Amino acid sequence: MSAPRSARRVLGPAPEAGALLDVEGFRTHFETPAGTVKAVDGVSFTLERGQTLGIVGESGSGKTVLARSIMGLLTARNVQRSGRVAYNGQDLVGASKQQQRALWGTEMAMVFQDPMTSLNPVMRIGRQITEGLRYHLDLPKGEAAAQAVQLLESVGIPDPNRRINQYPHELSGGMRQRVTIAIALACGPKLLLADEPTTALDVTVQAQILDLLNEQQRERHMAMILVTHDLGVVAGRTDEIAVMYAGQIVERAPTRTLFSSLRMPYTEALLRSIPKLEQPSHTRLSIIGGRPPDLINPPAGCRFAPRCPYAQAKCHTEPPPLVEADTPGHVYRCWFPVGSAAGLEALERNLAEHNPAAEAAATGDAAAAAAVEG
Amino acid sequence: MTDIAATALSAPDMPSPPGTSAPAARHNGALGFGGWLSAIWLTVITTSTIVAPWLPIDDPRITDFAVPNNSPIGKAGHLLGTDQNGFDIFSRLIWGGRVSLIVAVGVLAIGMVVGGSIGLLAGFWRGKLEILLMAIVDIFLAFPALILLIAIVAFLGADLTNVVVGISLVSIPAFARIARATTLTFSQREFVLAARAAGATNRRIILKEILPNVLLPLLAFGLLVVGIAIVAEGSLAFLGLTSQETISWGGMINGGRPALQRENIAHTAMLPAFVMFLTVLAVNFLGDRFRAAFDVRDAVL
Repeated sequence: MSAPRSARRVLGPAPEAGALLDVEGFRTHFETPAGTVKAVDGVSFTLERGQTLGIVGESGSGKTVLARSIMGLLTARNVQRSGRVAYNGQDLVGASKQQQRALWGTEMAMVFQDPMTSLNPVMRIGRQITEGLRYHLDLPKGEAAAQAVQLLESVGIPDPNRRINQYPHELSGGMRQRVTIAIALACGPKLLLADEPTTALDVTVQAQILDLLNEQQRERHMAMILVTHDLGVVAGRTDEIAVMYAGQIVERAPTRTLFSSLRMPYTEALLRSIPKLEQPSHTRLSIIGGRPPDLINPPAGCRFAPRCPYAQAKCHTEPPPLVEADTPGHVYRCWFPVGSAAGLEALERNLAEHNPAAEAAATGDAAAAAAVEG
Repeated sequence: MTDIAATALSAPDMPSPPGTSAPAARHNGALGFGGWLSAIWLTVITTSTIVAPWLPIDDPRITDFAVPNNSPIGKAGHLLGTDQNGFDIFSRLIWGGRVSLIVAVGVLAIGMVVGGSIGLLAGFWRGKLEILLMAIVDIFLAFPALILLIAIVAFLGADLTNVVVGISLVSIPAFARIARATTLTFSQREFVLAARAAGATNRRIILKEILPNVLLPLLAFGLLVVGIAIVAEGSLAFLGLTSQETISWGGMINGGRPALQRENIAHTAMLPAFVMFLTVLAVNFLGDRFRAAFDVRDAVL
């Protein structure tokens, strides 16, 4: 299995032209009695083979729904997908259940947030790994078991021969997440979707799991979508970052560009809310005041406007389009972008008018942040 | 007797959340003293009834004319005396256990397979199927269990097969509700989504991911139902809803009743009652221990 893959790396670009995953104007709406929840509302991006895309956003921004509905895992009757998702040139939105299932496991796989619930509690570790191998690759029992041991070894589980006969509850959280990664990798997918793979884990284990994902990705020349709410997690590990807010991508840029010249006030606010080591102890954490908007009736203008320190009258009425920045591959949605003259002016005007969002951003004052409506 | 059957068959809707009902010390897998006693008692009952034809005991259908009817315990070669017909009580207790065993196994099998399937399908597919299946289940639950059981047996005829079918029929709704409730919780868990993301079909998910998780609470409840089924069969026999050829504990209690009332001879009615009491107690006790000891799911840790 690994032979053709390494050959491809030597030869340079993959023989199949075009991106591995091409998402264009993708929408996922939920029909509910209260109205249509626009959980994902017009998302576009492309992902090349072997590349990593980080999707960042706070709770309720639609990042998990995006990851799951790209794969087609949301099966409830009230889910409506529209737009275009092309995997290797094959359309996924209009694909039948059977066509989609044929891709799951072998072409694309998913690692879930909570390893406590994503493993079957009454099935041995070994069988949970071999299930997929035997089902998809038709491996005989012994061969599948041998490969399970190999997989466990490759994800850094010591004594895999003993572990395959254990049940999930006999393993620690970090170990379990390693097992779920092994299960996801078992059939050699070309795209791995990791949905907050470290959120449920101890901080010390988080880095190990992320390193493991990166290492496996490099070895297998696999593309990865890393969903997280923590900008720190994606900082050194992704090629590109997409920041999501209220179902939309509000800024997308190569990782280095995003951190050096971010444009979107929301990205700035997210970045500011990460505690820094050089700050003295007892420094108040900076927070983003207010709450994410109602996805049934999103704000008419910019969706972040009610909480934005830069927001002007225009922001509340006209939705900003996704525009390109000076640096290549960098797009954002903002009328008064950070670092521009217009943005600076807008912030100063808001400060002069004692706008709570602007004051909270300038002073880090929690009381001001609490006054933000939204 | 009748009250227990009526309430317990219809009561439990939700399984108790795993691990919360039993203290942590019980999770060491040990049966404990009472558990072992129960296990030994049930083993003795089960094996003796199975090998009854080969045991050196009197024929349960032959009257001993050498001793008076209702002769007391230990008299004239009859270990536990004879009953109102001069039949050997010890022998009839063993042969009567057969009926209880058949009822227990039959009801457990039918209830778990049929009730479990209904619950699994309803809990997994939701929607209209769930509404339909659960409506049927609720209609069955709305009848008083024993009255329904008497009606079924009276209508179909009082032989052993119909008794088993009847008791199964009234126990199926309870099995179905427990299976559905457990399926609902487990099908929301991420490992089901993970299995789907790995390309598993719905059939595979039901059989390999959800069924093993539903089986444990279902089996624990099944042991409770076994106790109730034994009592229910006894109740039917006591009410005379059993064929006269069938030897059963309930029938023996019923047969001994006149002697108890008129002549104050207690052992003909009390011995089968005591054996039935011990058996049901042992089954319930073991069921409780079983649930506590084998409920090794992560919620327990």
